[in-house]
Amino acid sequence: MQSVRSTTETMTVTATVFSPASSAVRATQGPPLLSRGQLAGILLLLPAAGFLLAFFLVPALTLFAYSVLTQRADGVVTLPLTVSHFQHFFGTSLYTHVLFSTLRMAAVTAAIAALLGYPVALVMVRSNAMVMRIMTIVVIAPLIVSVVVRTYGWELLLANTRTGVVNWVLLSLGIIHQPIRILYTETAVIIGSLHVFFPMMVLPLASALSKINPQLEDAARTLGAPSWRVFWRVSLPLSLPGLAVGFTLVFSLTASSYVTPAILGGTGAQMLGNLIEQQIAAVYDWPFGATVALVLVATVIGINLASTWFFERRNRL
Amino acid sequence: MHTQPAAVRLADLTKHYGKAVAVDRLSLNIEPGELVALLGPSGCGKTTSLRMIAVLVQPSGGEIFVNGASITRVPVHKRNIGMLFQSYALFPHLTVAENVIFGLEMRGIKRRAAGLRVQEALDLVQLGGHQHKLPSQLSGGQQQRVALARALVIEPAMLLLDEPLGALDKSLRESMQVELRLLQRRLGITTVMVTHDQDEALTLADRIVVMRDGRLEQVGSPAEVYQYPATRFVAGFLGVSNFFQGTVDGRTGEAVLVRCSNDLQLTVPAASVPSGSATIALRPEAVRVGPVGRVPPGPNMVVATLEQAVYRGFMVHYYLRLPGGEPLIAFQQNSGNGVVVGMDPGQPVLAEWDEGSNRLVRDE
Repeated sequence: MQSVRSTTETMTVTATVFSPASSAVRATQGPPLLSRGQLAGILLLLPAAGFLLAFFLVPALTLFAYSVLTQRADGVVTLPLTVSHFQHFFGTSLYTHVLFSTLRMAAVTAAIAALLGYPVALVMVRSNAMVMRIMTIVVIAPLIVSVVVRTYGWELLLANTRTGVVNWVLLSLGIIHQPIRILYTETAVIIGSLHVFFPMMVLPLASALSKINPQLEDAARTLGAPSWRVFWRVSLPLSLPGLAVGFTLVFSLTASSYVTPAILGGTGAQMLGNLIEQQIAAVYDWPFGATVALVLVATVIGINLASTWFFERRNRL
Repeated sequence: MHTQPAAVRLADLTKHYGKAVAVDRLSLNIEPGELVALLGPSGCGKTTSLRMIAVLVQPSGGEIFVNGASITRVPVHKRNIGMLFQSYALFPHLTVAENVIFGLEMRGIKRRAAGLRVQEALDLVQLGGHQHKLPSQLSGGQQQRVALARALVIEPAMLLLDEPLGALDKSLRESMQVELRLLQRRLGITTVMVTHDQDEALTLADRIVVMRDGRLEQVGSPAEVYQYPATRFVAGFLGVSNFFQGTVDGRTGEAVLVRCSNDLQLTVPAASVPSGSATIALRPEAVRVGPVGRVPPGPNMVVATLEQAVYRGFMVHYYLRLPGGEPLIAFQQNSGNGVVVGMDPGQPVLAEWDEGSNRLVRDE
């Protein structure tokens, strides 16, 4: 997501620079087309923009082009153009099922992250600098451990046998009498994703909450609002921009994850990422893999744009 | 608005932050309908005191009584308090009307009745036509008036003002002071204001509470506190004062004779004779400056060197130097008849004042 956005910005800058309108200005008037500062800015952006163009944008566009091309029997992807891959995707209930469960797991993960994240973010911004620093480190700690190691850790914890840590604890406490099934379900994928992406929710929320003038909450309290109404009427609406950022990040990252569903989801909770991997690495069907990738990216971007629009509109009311 | 004026009493109100004492046993009686200003330099505990009355800060000790009943342990949202903040603290995501109705909603008042009261409150602050604007679309003065309407619409037992006009520019601040005072008088609402601006305190307050280092330094009407400062701190903080150090040397008639350095003698009207050293405060406007006609034979006059005369329109500020090197400031009003009394810097001048202008102050 992030790289797509910065590439678009770079493109816009380039487009502005070489637009005919500004050349016309140059022809009629003395002042240079670009100030030294602008020129320096473009030069500074060039290396990164070139890198992204060569190693991200071109391959990505090539892959997306595959989704409307045909793969010959010898494996070469070529013309003619076709929409049959999309028809295949949307016509097969297995694939649409995976699409919807991907979106559902991503949305549930983002929603739970928001519910758990608000209290943490509130405590963070109300604490002194020392406590805030410690909490920040604790919150971002999961990001320091490799995603594979961390996910295998969860596999041990959530295992469906009597030796799985969660099952063992529940059995020992007498809460359950038979091991319950957690691993290879959507619940396991959501728990694993929540663990990794929680900081992506807490940090934007904390940043948004810390920008709220504390006198606003004092004012609400003197006007007769108990704490929960202060939060509901003042802190929550004013922190919506942070929630929008956090929701977008957690949702996108969860929806496009691969390792977590591969290890914790198994075949019980597949996501689009695993489908893409199967199509390309196991079945060697590049056009269909590209189709699934395009569907994933387009859906995630669409939902993010919609949620951003919703949050910003609410915020303006 | 039908506010029932409340009597407020603070009894030994104290706040500690760890070992630091922010407010130290503050006791004060506030009459119903009175406007009291807590005045002092930053860090004197005035804001903490106000926030304790509002219970945004929990007191470490002491009690707050409203109409004789203690409200110390009543949570903030159950107290009937209207408060104005320096930053206005309007909810930026709500319109003017939604801001004003907020307190009524919290009290569960029906929308229809609440709407009428909001209209009434906005009319009171002359913002009738602005209900549907957002705070960011209003000027600073208008925003503070919305905040005032929001605080008054709940018909609070008392109004607390935390540097309410501090963010406004000077001319707007002065007109808002007058407006605020008129409104406060009309509604007869008991008001406590915090300010570091002595002009604001003198203009608005029925009584001024001067605070220093968490303690109450002096309480009185603006005229009392200005004319009869009890301590050197008050004399220096409120307006400008000259200070003299001297030794008490018996009585002359009704007054106490204080002998300062360089043959300067002061007589101070005092009921009792203090012993040892004494500090005397003298307002610059009490000092008359003129040409040296004769050698000063008596007390309360001195020949000094004129260092600088600053023309300030209706006033002239004279900066004098006493023979011992101490400065003496005199403010003299211009007569308005066009005659400018010419006195050249560097020349000796005679400074004299009345015995009644000398104030014996505590020096701590």
